[in-house]
Amino acid sequence: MDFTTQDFFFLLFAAIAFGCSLLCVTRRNPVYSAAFLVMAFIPIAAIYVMLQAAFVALMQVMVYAGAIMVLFIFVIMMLNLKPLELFYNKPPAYIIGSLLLIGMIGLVTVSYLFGGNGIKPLTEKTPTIADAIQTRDENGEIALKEVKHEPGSPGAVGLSLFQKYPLQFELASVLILVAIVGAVVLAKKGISDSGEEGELRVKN
Amino acid sequence: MLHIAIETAANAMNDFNYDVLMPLIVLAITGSAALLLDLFLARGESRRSVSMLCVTGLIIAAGFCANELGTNATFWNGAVKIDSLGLVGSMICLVATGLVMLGSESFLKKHKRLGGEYYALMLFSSLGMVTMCIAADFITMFLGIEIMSIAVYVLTGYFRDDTKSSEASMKYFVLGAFATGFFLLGVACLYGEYKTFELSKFVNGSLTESSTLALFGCALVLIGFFFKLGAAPLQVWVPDVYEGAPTTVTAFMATGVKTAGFVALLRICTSFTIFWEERLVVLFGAIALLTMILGNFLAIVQRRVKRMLAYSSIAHTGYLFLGLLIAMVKKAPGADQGHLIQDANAAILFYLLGYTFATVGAFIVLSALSRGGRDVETFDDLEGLGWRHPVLGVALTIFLVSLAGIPVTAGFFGKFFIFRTALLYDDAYIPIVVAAVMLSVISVAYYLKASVHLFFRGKAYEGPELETGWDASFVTLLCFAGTIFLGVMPDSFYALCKSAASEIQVILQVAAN
Repeated sequence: MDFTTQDFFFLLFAAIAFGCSLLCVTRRNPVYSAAFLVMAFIPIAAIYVMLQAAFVALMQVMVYAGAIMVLFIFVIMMLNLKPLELFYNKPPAYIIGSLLLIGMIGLVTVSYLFGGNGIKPLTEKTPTIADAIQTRDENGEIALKEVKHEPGSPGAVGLSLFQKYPLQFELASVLILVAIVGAVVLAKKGISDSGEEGELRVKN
Repeated sequence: MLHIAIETAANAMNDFNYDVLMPLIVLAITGSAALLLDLFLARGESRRSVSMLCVTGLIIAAGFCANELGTNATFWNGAVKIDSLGLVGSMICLVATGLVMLGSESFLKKHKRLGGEYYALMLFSSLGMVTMCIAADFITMFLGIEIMSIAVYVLTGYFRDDTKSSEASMKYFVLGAFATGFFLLGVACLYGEYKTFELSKFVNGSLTESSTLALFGCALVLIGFFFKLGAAPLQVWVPDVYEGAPTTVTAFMATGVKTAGFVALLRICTSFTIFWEERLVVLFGAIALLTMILGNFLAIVQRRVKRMLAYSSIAHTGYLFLGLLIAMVKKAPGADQGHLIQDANAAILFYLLGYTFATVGAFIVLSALSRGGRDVETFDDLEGLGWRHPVLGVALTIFLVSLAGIPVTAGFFGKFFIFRTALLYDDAYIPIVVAAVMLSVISVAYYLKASVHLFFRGKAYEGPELETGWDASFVTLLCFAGTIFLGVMPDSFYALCKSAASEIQVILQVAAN
């Protein structure tokens, strides 16, 4: 197996992402965890770029590393969380979980390296997506003009979203509606008919 | 080049048949309308109108499903597969949703938690279930699973002022998110191997020829499903969540979610030739057996009725896995395989409908019964209530008898069809079927414990008369009628189910070539 530049960069980004994720779940201070989460998102975006998925990489940085992380930090600040002790007080769960994770990763690695039928490399290049748009030519007449989109570009993603996966696109909007309604149901104050607010009624 | 691009787009458009999506469209419109209607109702006012609107929507959606029966084709670029399996499965989900919705109003009123969102979320959840039932690729299936699950997470925590309900919701949500992660990673691995999401294109390859990546993907997808269905060893969340959730929501979870999950899993397992290998069949057999044993034995020791029913639902997952196992096994003669899968499919669908009637009925009766204004929790709370509410008491007994699988009820024929199919096709199933039969005999002990407490323990309950609500009684009667009807005339529905496997024969032909 040849070791290409691409392999080198993949391993580099993967190692950074892995290390940051590990630090994210092991830090006691939630603000540090959030910071490491951002640092884990960025090398993942780099891997997306290497996979010719420029649009997804852009979204990864803008939406996840940007918007969602700001939200996370706001919530952490608002709740004024103290460093968590919870996880470290349960060493058996910690050890068993780690062993399971190491075992799983080890199993996949070993079978990948020695199984003989590993991942097939992506040999064929993803074709560019052609589309026709309406334009006006030099005489002011309406004409169709062909546009080519690089794979992974916003244009290609948009075309496949609306031409190939319109149903899934609509279903995703239903999913978001459900999530919004659900969030309101769980968070709205004084939703009970009794009008009690913020008090938990314990059964028994 | 230009023409080709336009032509491809035009060809793709022909595939976009809105008629086949009518059930989904009706559900989405009704759900949104329910949310809007709710705005016109004051706090504490009855939400009966919202509930009736939603039930009407469900009936229309089920009508569209019934209308499409007989179709067998793929639409929307391979996103949905309209066939009898998906349509009958969808209808079972819609029936379960409708029954629960009809029976919820007085329960919510009793807990001072009226709200139109309850019905809207349940309706959207059923939209997710229908999507899961008819999904033919992994993206659609994933979206269906998520629409269903997110609505159910919220419904579980619907009694926000009750710590148990909130705790259950949190547990379900966190664990469910993990399961979703497993499922997605599995789908990504499978995409990496096969470069497609469509289930019908996974037919090539066997276990030994498949790459590590494909196997890893299959395993992760299965983990996601095993969690959702509550199969051992991923069943630990079931009792806590079923107990903590509002009783009507538990009824919904135990039936609708399970039905949709099984139909989707059936589609995956019968599509993937990888799953037909002997070693994986052994794995499924072990899971079926373990789930049955855990569910039945742990149900015996429960003191709380809802927990007992939760463990019993785990046990039923085990019986259904036996059906799944039969559908998966690869047989040498190709012609035989089609009939085998057809029989196994029909048995599973029949079982699911019988289970739906009995389970919804049992939980609705539990939600209607109360003692001194308090919900029934332990078996002791049931004491003497049978004489106070004879109709509900007798109905609950019949539902439990059906769950135990005693004749003249739907549950008996559900088990009978699964076991018969198993024995008809292979002698290798004899040990597991014998174990299943013995376990269902054991299950009689804990099911009838509830009836004994209802009628033969303690004095007749003398407390104040409680409004059980006509809606709960009505739903109880509907479930009762369904249970007895399927138990007396099983052929009527079994014949419908039996037509539900035609598409699998097509897959088999593809696999054979």
